[in-house]
Amino acid sequence: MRSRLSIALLIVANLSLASYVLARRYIFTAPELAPVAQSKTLPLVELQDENGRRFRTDRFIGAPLFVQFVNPSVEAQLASVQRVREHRPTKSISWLLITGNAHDLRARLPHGSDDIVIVQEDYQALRELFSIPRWREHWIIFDEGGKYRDSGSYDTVETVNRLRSVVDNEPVFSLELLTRTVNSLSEKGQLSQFHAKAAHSPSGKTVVGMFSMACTGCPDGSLIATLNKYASLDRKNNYLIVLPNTFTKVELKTFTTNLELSIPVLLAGSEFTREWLALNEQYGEKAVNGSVFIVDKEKVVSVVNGLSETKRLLKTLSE
Amino acid sequence: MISQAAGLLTLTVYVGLFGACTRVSQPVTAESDGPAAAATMASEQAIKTSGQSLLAEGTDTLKIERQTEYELGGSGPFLYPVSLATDDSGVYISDNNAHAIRFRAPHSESVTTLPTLDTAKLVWPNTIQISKGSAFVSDNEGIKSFGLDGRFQRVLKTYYAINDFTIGTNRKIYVNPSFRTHKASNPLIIQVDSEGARVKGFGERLNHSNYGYLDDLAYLCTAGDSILAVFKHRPVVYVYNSEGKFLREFPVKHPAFESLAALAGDVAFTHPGPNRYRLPTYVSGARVVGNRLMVLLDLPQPEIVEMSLMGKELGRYTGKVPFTTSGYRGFDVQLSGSTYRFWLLAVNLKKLAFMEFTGARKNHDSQARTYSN
Repeated sequence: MRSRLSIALLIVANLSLASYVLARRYIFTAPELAPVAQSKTLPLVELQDENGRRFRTDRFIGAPLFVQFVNPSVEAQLASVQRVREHRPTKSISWLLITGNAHDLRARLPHGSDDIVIVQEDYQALRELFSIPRWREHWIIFDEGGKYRDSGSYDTVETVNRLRSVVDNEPVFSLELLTRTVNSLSEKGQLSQFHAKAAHSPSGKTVVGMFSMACTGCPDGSLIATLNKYASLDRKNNYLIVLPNTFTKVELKTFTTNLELSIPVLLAGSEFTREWLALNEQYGEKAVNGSVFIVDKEKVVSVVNGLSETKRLLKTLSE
Repeated sequence: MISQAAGLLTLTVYVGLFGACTRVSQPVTAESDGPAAAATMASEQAIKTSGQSLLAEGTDTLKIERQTEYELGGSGPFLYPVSLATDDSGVYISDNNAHAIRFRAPHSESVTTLPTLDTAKLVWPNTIQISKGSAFVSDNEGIKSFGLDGRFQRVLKTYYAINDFTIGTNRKIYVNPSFRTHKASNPLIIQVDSEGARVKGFGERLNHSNYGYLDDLAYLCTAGDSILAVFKHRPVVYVYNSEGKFLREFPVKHPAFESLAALAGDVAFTHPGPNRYRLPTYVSGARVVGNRLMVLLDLPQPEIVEMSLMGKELGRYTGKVPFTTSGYRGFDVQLSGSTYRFWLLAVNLKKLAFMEFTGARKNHDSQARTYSN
């Protein structure tokens, strides 16, 4: 009786061991493991690093985790990793890069990157598990509890800010921030040309659109078209578009011609440009581009960002 | 199984709403649009496969001169190639996701990258054209020109979203732009000057919002004083003179096209989800050689129609690629003596085939029999 019991226990133990070994190797291919887009959590799987060491992703729990899929042959992708690393959050985080070529990637990372874990094995399956589109590599941020917090394409300029927002609770680009900046510029006399323009409008107001980039097929193209439309209908207020002074005269002329602008287009002064480009650098050009503010003779009246907010403001203003 | 079928078709079918200002937009896929979208995509492929079994009498089979298969997506030299152009020095391929121009010399199997990185970064490059020893590439910042050694020459900041462009005589540049704000006055073609500024716009757009404006996407070619717009999602060619005057239009024919046109009436096909649009793809490339228009049809195996600039069909050529394609990412033709040399990039979900074909130029006095549709 005792020997039968021992045999049964041995069988159960062996089966458990075999199941565990199989699960360790293939755990993330299990169909019940939902991709990140659905689960919104860090998949708890076993991975193998570039040196052949196996580890479970639950080792990352306890600190925020920045995961990026990287093709080391694409300079823009390496540059994006470097940029995030250079402006990393002050609080401690973990770094995981997943790539089709770990050797190349490690060789192309700068010194001091030893804290980055690189994984190559099962690259394609991991792309699916982390919900990375086939046509573009992405990054994903998980918080210290393994909960999904944010993701974006590698060419997202504001990645640094978004990471610091999750980890250090730093503010992302906001209207308050833009309002502070524009008011500060106004107080320093950097917006005097706009205030002067406002003085000549029937309402005493001028609408100013800030653009450092635009194209006919992009959202900012729609915003410019909206400003253009209101400028042609609104008889009470003046309208202006301002570009950073990094635009050449030829570029300014082409911008005006090709976007069919009926609104005057001006170059910003040096300090305005400097502050503007600093915002672009910190929060991403896409976040800042197309911001609209209204000035009267003396002060900044309101600031908005985004097409729908701008439409709402212009509608109210022109009534 | 569904995702695999959808994958085969993924790379040629694009939505009209541009994602993140990248000219190559997010494809309609089973992943993003569900199994119903995948099924309708499979129906487009089935129509094309069945239609291609009916070869027109007089169709010439092209000889394969070179054929190289590459893995897509990172294990090979190509990530997301989108356009190719040739000259005597070799083949230049713009790789959208690699932000690079790849180069393949005439008698070499190896693919190198033009050293454009230190001079001017390419940002999601799209169409590439070679003109008088320079490579012109449209990207998210305009049209950039490089020496064929990769040396940066200049950027034309056009502020247009450029679907395709061509360079005519005296280096006049014509673009087929995309617009986010759709107006009846938006032209189909815009000529820009050497600084990128608009000189004139011409050609009417259909502005079909229910098709996501896809039916205004066209490949552009020039032939002397003429500018040709060969539509990607309509089997038709419009011809204008350099003043922008509409001269004529003529059809591009194939037995599959009638059934494909029916798909355009199926809302499940054309509008698979919110802000997602597509249309059947008829054409994957167009080039003018001498006074002949060569049109690459979007079919599972390459089929090229040779036409006069008046629209008369003069020849039809077919080639074999090593797999059933989901589309083509570049097409060019050169004429050497009485031989045409064709280059194309055929793709499926995972692979890319670099193909170089030759075919004898037809005696154009005896016109090939053609499809009647």
